[in-house]
Amino acid sequence: MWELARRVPELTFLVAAIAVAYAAMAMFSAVDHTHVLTADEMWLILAASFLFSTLIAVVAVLGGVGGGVLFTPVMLGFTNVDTLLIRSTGLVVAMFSGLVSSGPFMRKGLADVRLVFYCAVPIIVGAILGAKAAIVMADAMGATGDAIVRLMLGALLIFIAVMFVVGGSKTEYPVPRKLDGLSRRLGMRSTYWEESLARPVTYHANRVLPGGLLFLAVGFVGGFFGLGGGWAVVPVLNLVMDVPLKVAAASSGVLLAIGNAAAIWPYITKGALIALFAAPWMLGQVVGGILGAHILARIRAGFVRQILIVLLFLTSIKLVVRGAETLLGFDVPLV
Amino acid sequence: MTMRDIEKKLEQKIEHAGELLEHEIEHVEETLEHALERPTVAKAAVLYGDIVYWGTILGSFVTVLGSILAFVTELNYLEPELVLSAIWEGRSVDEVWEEAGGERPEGHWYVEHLTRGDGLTMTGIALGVFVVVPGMLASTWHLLRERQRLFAGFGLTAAGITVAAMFA
Repeated sequence: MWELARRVPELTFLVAAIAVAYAAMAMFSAVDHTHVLTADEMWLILAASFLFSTLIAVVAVLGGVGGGVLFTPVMLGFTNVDTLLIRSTGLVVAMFSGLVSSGPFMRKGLADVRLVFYCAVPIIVGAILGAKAAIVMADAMGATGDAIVRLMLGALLIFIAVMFVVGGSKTEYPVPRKLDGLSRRLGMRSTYWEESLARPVTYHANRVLPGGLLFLAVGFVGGFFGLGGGWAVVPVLNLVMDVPLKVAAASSGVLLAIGNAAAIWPYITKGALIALFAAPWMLGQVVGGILGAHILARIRAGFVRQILIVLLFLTSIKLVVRGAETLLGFDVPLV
Repeated sequence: MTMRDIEKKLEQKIEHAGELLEHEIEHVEETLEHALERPTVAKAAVLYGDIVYWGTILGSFVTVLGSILAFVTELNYLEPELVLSAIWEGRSVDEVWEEAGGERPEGHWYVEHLTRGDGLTMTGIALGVFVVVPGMLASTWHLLRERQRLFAGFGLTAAGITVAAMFA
């Protein structure tokens, strides 16, 4: 831990500043209680949000998904917070661990900047359209829209969890069967240093057109539900575009940060992102993102992935039930 | 041609073949040495990564400062206790703004409230989000210098759409 503190002084300063901030907020709080919450409860919500966000960021980094895929469903399933607020904050959660990991990944040459820029265009367009659609739907449909969002998200989570279960066919170093014409013309050939093999690995991105179209869809879904798109970016890069798994995982974080950075502006400019509520989630992602990237790489990622699958299944059940309860007007006991 | 001449010619040819082989081995060794070297990381990638990383850290510090201001002073655009209570009760975005004393904004409301806790907190988050734009532009500029026009075009398009989303 001391080694990390010495190696990443900015993380040490940030954690110290956050600790001082929360201590000051507890001791010198100027907020009054309301009929809903006491001042202590408000502080507790913010501090717990920061800690939960840090944990989500670490799990998300290890599980190879964006944090939004955990934050958004859990908040939608288990709290009363408005769905639009959850989805806008979900984008903050989905992007900030990707933003801070951009530096180390780019410096190590793991994320390919040309591949990222090519994929960024469709993912940004899709994400902005998704965010706009979410705001329009929330304004037009109210509680019914919320219920539909919960139902659709529940179904999507089941799909993602199943994808994780059967997704064992990922290949670490895919060999392209036949390079298509457009991929050859774009020439997205690159080399990175593979630490585990102690040698460079060269690859060539393939099927760039279907890959681009899939990123448009991934961007829309991520922007609409506030999930980000980490659950889909790695499979598209690895299985469709023949990019090595390590490069796909690193490029995914960078790509998500770019896509979500565009998707979040409609939420910000329409007042759908509330600063006080989103701040601890953002800070937790930054701290957890750096922690996850630096010290927890040795933990068995497979185990974290299994926990993630169970969480996704449980949350999807809760979401589907809550959506159905609102739409059909019945109560399901015990769920 | 005598037997002696033939032997001499053969010796010369063998000597020449040996030299060629030696040269070829040297070339293969050199190629292998290069193949096992760490590839240099593209400057465009390092530029993007560094700008985004340090920009995010800076945005985080601004957010921390804003959060303290929001909680320990009364310098806020919206009243924090009303905001948090309304959110916790499950109020809609419109209701949260109305109950906390403001009107749901259009545009970058926080720029006019930089000295207030919630305005500064939002500025920190927005700064963290915005850093991808200078990151992409710096990286694009370097790609252009390396004559990678197509990918510079993708970078410029991505930055352009993001900026457009900020003001749409």
